[in-house]
Amino acid sequence: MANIAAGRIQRELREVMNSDEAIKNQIKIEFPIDDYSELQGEIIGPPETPYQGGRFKLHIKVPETYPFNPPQVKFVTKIWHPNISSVTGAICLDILKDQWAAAMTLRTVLLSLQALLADAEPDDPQDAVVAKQYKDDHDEYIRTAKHWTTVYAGGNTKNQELEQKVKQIVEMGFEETCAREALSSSCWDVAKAIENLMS
Amino acid sequence: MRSISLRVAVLRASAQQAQFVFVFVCYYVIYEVLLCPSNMDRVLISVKLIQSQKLSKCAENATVMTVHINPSQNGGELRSEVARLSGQSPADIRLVFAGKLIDDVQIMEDLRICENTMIHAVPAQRIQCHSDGPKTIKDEGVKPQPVHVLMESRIIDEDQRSPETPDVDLASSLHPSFYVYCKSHCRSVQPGKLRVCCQTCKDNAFIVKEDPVCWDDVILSNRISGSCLVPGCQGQKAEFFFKCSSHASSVNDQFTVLPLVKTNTRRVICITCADILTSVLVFPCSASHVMCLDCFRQYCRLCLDERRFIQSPELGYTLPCPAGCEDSLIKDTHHFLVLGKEQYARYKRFGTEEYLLSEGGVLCPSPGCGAGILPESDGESRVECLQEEGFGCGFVFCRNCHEAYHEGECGQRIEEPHGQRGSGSEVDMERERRARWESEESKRTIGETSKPCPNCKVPVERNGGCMHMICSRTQCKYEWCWICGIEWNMGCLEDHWFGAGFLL
Repeated sequence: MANIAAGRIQRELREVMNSDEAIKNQIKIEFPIDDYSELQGEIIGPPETPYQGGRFKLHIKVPETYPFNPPQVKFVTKIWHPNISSVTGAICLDILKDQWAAAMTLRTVLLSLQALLADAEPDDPQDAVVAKQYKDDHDEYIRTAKHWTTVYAGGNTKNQELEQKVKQIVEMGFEETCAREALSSSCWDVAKAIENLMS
Repeated sequence: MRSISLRVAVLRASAQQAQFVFVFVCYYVIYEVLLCPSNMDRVLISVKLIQSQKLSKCAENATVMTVHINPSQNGGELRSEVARLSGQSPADIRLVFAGKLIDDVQIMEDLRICENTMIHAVPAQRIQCHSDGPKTIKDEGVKPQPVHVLMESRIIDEDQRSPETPDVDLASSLHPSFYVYCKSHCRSVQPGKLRVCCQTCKDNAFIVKEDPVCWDDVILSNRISGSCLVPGCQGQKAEFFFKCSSHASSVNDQFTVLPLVKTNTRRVICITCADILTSVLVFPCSASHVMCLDCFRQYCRLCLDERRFIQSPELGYTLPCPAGCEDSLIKDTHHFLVLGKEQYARYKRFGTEEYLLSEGGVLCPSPGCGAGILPESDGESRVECLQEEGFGCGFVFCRNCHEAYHEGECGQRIEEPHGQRGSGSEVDMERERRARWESEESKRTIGETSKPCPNCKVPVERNGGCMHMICSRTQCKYEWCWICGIEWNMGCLEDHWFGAGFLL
């Protein structure tokens, strides 16, 4: 079994590296020599989305039973998205679960994830807080997602107001990441965020 | 010199023929040893002589003799040789192979006549009398049809029927072939041969009136007619069967044809490993996805281990195309013979269990038992695993929670009276606990991290995400709520989708 998986992954790595998307620097895969079971992927945020300008790193674990079972993929770069856990980076995407098919490849997975960034599915969420914000206060969701892209994924839309609020809470003695998560979950209401952090 | 001893052995050494045999032996010694240095290229075939009614009254008296042929030899030359060996005139016999007469100009190699092939020599008058008959062969009945038509994998599925076989890659040496699972000898998938016999007397001295063009023609009976050449038999229906090409077969050998396995003449890559292999399985999906046999075996094994086979009421326990295509279930479950004897037995057991469960049955939960029980459908929760004819263990359990039978509600812990039975013996309680297959700790862990699926009772672990659970058993897929333990509904969605206290 492992032979099938290793052979397939080698071919798929070549496929990714020779793809148009890789040449345009939109997707990328890195792997340690002689070990195809743990890979590092990277996708860029699609244009005209809050993720534009960001580069998102992914951890890809290839099971022994690949390609009969899907690769396990999660975001290493923190991201604010209804279908991706803002805490763990776990992804809710059907093709990575029961809709996986042996004909799919690493390249199609990376492209599907890019498509997921462009087109979220708030009715099938992984992160309920983000999904609620996405549906109830879409502008707030976009502002937060852009902010996360800038802070964690190298995006370039600095938002002084939000930075200031994070700083305000950090000065009270909280971790920056916790402060940002609390603020993001409370629609950037400083008092509410502090209340969440204290409880 | 092997060939000569064999040849002598098959010629009947009757007193009248002794001299005849001697002449032949001398002739062959001179011919083969001195004049024919390329003996290596020759192959040994068997020829079954069907005697005319005058000489012999029943087909059982037919003689089988072995003949060395050169693959480049033609039908006429073989006929002459068989006639010589059997002491007949070439004009008196006709050769029949795989349901067809062999034409004098046909080359052995083209007919795929190879080592161990069996052909039939029948009296020419028998053919004549059949071709004269109005009901058997048409007017041109004696005119030989190309035999290879029957041997090649020209039989294609009804829906893919095409006039010719454009998929044959002439540049490659790949011959289309049937594939069989050779049960008794090779215990693996092997190229197979399609052969035909008379439905009435089962003898292969039979010529078909028309070629089979689809699998149904071959698999179903009474589709193709022809005429039996065995004296005294009036059989007019063909019966097709398959043999393994890899060895000479005996009566007891068992071969199962695998219609989805094909020679990869189109050189399609395997959907799993992306290699191009000679023998492949073509899934019955609209895209006809291709998988090499090695990957198919691994796919079956994995799906067996993970219980991913699907119990179909019409087809049985089977698998779809791994690309997730619709309507792609394998119809002939004999293809799972590729799992090998041991795993195929496991496949059959799992299939039986799933069938039983789908019919409302239960499996005895006692470790090591697993007997299938079909309880009365009266809602009675007490089920006894009856000990009958070597089956069953006597365990009495609750149909709802699969624990030992109890009065009242399920889920209340019942202390097992381990080590406290009787009064005479003392049991080291600590040692007894450690010797249990499932320790108390692991049971506790399973109890804490998992909950039984409300539908099939299989313990399901929740490792994150929302409260909307989908049972991971392929046959179940029941959607339920982790908190309420009932079918997932709008109330759960609105009230506690992501856990109590969180409203979306």
